[in-house]
Amino acid sequence: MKIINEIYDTSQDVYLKIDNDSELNLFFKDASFNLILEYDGENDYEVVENISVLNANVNIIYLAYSFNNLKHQSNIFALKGSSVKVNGSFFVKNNKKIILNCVNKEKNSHVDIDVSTVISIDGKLKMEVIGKIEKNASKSSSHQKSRCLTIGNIKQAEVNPLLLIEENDVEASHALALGTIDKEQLYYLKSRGLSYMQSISLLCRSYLIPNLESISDNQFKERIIEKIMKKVLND
Amino acid sequence: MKKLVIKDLYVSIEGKEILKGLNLQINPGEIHAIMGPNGNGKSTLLQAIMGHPKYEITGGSIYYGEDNILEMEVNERSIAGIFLAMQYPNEISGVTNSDFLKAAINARNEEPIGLFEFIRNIDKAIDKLKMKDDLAHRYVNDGFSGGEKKRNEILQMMMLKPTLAMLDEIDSGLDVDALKYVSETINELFKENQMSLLIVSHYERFFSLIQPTHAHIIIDGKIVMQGDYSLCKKIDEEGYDWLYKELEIKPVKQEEVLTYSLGSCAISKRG
Repeated sequence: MKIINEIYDTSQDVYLKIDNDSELNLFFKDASFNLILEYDGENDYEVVENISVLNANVNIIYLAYSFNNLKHQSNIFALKGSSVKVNGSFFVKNNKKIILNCVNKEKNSHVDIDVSTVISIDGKLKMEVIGKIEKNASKSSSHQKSRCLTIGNIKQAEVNPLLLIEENDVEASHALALGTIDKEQLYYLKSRGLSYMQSISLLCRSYLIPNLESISDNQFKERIIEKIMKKVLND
Repeated sequence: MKKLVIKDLYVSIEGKEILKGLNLQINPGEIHAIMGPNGNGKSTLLQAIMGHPKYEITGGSIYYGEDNILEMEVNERSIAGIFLAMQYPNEISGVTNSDFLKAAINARNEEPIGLFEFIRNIDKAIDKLKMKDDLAHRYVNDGFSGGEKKRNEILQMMMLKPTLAMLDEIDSGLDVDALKYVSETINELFKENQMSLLIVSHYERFFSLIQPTHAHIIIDGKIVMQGDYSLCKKIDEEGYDWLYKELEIKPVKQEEVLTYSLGSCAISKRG
């Protein structure tokens, strides 16, 4: 089964493009880099990932903006001495069901989740963002932020932020914002000559692009931004 | 060159009438100052010209050249040459000034602006307004101080080259130096582009640097007095009381902001 059709590797960024049903098992130790996982297949698909991080700083960037149905479960295990940042940029056109399950399994492990989603016309999103600190994972932290922007008549937007804390002496927080386009921002952009559609595409960009900031290779980052904006504009 | 003609304009916000039959004509190359106490319709006039959806036009007309702008979308008004430097500019996190301005420039030109020409123009504007070098790569007004936001409005004006620029209290929040850079830039743009200006401000200091050709006082949604720059000076020195007496009108009462309690929390009352 072909699960990865492209690998792009620089000293600081590892890029995996995933376009079939797959199960990924990844283990990282003693490292510091960005792991970019892109879901842009031509068919509907279902993905399960298990990512374990030990004594490493890993910034996981999820990019999903295909027009197909996606069922995606990611289990991220933060082990001793690890720091895991989870950034997600999702553009939802059809039906996307996403579970981000981030578990602090051992002492002194840190998880920071920041997810931005744009749900377009007829889109349906069901997302669970789970931060769990297990027993024995003291001196750990789990923080999460989810933002969800809806455009036009969507079918469903359901985002559940969950914190499951089993240990004392830890830090945890969650935040969720879900709403439609800010009319004042739209007016501001239009007052500078941008049409409704041009304004919407810029506002979508403002949701989806900041999560890519940590990508160190600018050329590669621009390529990804161009791809995302093409999808948004073709919608 | 086009003139702006406003006839018998009535504007309401959420059912409350703010402008009550306002008339104004701005010819090419004129600088008009608008003064007046708070809450009398100055900003409403500018927002109505720009086309803010909250402001309902209930009567009258606004023509810019041959265009009936009340029939035009906000972006069409902008492309027709109208620009509003806002009192409270929006923050748009995630969109860089560079991307925003390129999109705005390209929206009004048939050919997209070349990268080198864009960089040259924005660098010149940044230098002129003494803004930070990384402005092009920063998100629109995100994390900007009050003064930086106002300067960024003028920078956008420089880049978009409107034929009618409206400035809504652009001088508030600017320090002495910034006020100098901003007014110098406005004066240069005025000469270079031969545009018209409609400026709302409470302070004669700003008008002394711009030297308006016309001045208007708005009270209770109408222009009650017109003159030249000397009228701005008189208002600055004497306030509005003499005007109320001379015209036998009463000041508009500011609506009281009512505060509501959602009830008490678990803290018990102390005797």
